[in-house]
Amino acid sequence: MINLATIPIPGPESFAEIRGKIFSVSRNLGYSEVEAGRFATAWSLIIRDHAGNFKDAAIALELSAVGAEEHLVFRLDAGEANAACARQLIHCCDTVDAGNHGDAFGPMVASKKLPPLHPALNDAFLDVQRDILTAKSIFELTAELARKNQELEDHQEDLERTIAERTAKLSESEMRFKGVVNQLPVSIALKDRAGRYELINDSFRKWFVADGSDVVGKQTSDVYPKEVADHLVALDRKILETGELIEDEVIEPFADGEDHTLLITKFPIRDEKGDIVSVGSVETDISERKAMEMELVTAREEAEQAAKTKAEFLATMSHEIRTPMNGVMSMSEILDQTKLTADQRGMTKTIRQSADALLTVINDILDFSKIEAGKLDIERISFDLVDVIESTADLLAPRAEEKSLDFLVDIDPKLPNKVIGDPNRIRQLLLNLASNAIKFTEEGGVEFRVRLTDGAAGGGQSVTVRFEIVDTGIGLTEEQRGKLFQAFTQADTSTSRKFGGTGLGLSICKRLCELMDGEIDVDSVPGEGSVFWFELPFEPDGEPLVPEHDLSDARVLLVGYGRREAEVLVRYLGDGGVAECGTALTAFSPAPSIEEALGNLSAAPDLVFINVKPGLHVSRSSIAQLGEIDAVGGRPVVLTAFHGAVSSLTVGDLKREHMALQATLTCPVRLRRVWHMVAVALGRAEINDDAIGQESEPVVYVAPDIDTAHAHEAAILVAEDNETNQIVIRRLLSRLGFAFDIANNGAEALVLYDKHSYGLLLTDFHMPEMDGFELTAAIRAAEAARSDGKTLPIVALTADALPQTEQQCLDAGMNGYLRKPIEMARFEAVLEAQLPHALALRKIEEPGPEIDPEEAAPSGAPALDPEVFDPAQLEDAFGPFDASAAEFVMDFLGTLEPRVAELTDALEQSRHKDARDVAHALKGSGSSVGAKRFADLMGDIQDMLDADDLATAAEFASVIPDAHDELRAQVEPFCAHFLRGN
Amino acid sequence: MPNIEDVRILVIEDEEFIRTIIFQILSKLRVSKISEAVDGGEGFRKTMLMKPDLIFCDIHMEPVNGIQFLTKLRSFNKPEIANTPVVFLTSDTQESNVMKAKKLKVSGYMVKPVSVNDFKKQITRILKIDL
Repeated sequence: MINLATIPIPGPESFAEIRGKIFSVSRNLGYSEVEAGRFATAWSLIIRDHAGNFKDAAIALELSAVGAEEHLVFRLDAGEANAACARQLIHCCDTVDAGNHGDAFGPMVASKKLPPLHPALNDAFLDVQRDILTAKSIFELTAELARKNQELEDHQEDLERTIAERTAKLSESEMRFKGVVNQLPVSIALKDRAGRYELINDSFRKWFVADGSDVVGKQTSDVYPKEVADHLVALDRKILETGELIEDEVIEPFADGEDHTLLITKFPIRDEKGDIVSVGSVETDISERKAMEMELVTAREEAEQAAKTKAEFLATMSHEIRTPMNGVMSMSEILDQTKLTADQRGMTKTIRQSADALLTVINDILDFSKIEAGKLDIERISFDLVDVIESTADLLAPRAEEKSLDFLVDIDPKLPNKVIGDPNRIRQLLLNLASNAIKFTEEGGVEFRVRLTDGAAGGGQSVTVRFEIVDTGIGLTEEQRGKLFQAFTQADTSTSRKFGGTGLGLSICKRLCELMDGEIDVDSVPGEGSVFWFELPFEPDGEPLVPEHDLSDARVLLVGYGRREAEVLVRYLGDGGVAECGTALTAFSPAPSIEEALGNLSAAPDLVFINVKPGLHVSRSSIAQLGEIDAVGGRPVVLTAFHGAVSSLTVGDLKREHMALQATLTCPVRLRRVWHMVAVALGRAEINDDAIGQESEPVVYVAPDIDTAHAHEAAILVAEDNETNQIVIRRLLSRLGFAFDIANNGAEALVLYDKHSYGLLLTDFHMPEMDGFELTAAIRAAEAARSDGKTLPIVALTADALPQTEQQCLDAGMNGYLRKPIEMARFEAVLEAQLPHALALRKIEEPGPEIDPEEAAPSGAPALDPEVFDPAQLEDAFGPFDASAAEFVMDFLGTLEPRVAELTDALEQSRHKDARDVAHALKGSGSSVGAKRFADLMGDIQDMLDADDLATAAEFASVIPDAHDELRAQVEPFCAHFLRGN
Repeated sequence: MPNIEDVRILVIEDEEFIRTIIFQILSKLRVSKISEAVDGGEGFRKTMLMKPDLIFCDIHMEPVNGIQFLTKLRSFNKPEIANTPVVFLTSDTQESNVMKAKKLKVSGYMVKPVSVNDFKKQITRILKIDL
């Protein structure tokens, strides 16, 4: 069997094609035209009528041998249509099988015997037939074309869509880009090589183009004022020349006329060849940042200025306060050294104490400010710790004594002899805490206890010293303790009302301790008392305390001491090596008697300490008792007592009672003095004032006359502008026996310096004309020019108490400085050191006959109303009121009448200016002679005239005669008294 | 708080007998700066001169009475003087005078006969001094 071809039947409309193919092939196989026509017709009918009923059917054409004969076979599987198809083929085929065999349908098969003269069925023939049968029909071709066209169309559409999409994407990104550029808070502009704008963004438009129009194509000068435009164009040109990016800060006016600071970045834009085609510029508005920077700078400057002002204020305040305090303290100190009644001495004491208290308050505030500002410097110098503690106690003893409190110092003799630290700050701490303790204790006592807690003296390592200030005062609650060391706080406000104070003291103490690497706290039971304590580390400088002399064989008897006092004394003596110590009539219960105490000693005592306390333990009769005891009578005796009590028991008393007074020690007794007393009693040491602390009468010197002093280069040149200070220095120098010249400022001092040879210059810092530094510079320059090798020692006098002051002085070429208020002792020490050759020139003043100040005062002078006339006003100039002062006042009174008349005339004639001037003049002269009320009235008249209140001025003027009369009534008899006397 | 020894008091009273009594009382209270005037006119002159801290003033006086004095004082163009506390001394309590005095900010009233205690109270109250 040969398969010719399988012809698919796409649909009914394909009948013509298939008919043609079948006809052609049939003819080629040799069938007659009629036979071929029948096949063709049959198949075209089948296709036309049935192709709609079957799908994907195909006609298979085969050549098959049936027996010896060759047949053309048609096969078609059209399912249910097979029967109908077979029917059509019956007429033209030899056999037809519809494929209907029972239940199963097979393909329809029809065959027709090939004609006898059929061509040879070789491959070439068959291929031709196959080609014919399988040739594509027009229909198929058309369909294919259509399909191809469709494909083409589809492809085209794809392409268009892609392009559209891409285009859309492109414009979106451009829009986005543009939006971004426009939204940027910087201005962007591109200019071509000729300087024309090519592109600008919204910010540029908004900032620089007043009407918001486009400036593309325009020039820089169309947008900016000439000056700015010129600058920008110059920048553009530079870019074109160098091709490098430029940054610049330019102030440009915005369209609204306001100037802004802009940070400009200009850069070249190049084409592919690398040639610059445009200049781009980006400008950022940095006005706000600039303003902020400026503000910051200003703020910093202001802060620095404020800090400086504060420091200056502190220095000034310190200066301003210390200068008058200098007057008060020094004068009361000097006053104290003159002959005074007990009352007056009490008053000078009060003045000094008040001044001290005021200075303490001021120093507190200054210290606190300095600590706050981190400016408090802690010194590190070698000092005698025991001396600092004991001298502080000496300062406090009178206060405790006044309140009848026990006051005790208990020092551990294991303390190092000297330590490295800041003695002034430690004194400050002790003073502050102990002052509080005394202040808040009404009954009982206050005690200093100082001991080593850590390390051993002499070991070379750091030691820790614990200072305790124990009181039996009001104590503190837990809550009060918590707040205690905060600034401006006292335990409660009621105590602050009762006891006063700045409330800064403890806060300062705490900071001071911190600055010295120590700690501070308080243990307290309310109502029972408090223990304020602080612990500080020190570097020991030297060995522990030991007595200078061997005391081991001494026997000492203590009489009249309280329990704690006796404990401390016994320990002091024991630590000093004293082996035997008896105590009698102490507060021990039952009190050992003298006999019992003596019984404890191996022999009679070498020394008897007797405590003198008003109303306690030892009375005169008990001393008499002592004197009668063989073992005690005639023995050296040391009395210990508070200051005030010393005078109540005198040497005379003791002599009467057969006692040999060796010395009197003030309480609280000093450790070294106790040891020294024993050494003296044993005959191993000489008694010295320093060891006893007895106050000797001050020595008053007489200065040589100034010419002698000049000749010996022993005179002092003083440059000081403040009158009070001049008086103080004058008095101090006179008492100390130095001759001097006073200059009111540096310039005057320089004139005197050129004229005489001085041994020392004392100079104030701040003076008009020429200050202390300028003066020093001028003198040092003159010395350098003279080159004789002589230099004048220069010591500054200053109320500045800042730590850097000393360095300032040294830097300026001075030799040292003295702080105001000037302390006499320190002043004397400095003068003696700087002017040793002047000491031989001074003489000790012979004490004159004692004069009772009451008697020295003018007696019998009529009583005065100081509100009307105060003669004290003239004392500065005239000294105590005397005849010359009286003459002066009378002169003033004499000139008064015409002046008053002048004033009233001027007022009546409404010459206000003249009236005012006269009133002003009379106010001045009146107040300087002490005509207080009269001067006040003149002041009132002047004030009213100044205020143009003529009516009130006239009212005041109406009492001028009253004031005048009143003044005359007081002054005349008073002055007459003095004038009569001469 | 001022010290009583420093306090300046002016007494304006026409009757010498009463002036003497007041002077004695004030001295007893340790007032040492006392000035006296016999009528409102002199009182005013003394006020300008001595600038008292407190004035005790009678009402019925010739030629210038207490009300006239107080009127003039309160209108004076120097606050330090115009605001001086004034206490009236009077033997009657005529309502019109009381009202006038009240308007002129009188600082107190004392009805004659006066006693140490009255003065003490007034001084304590007005000058805030413990006596």
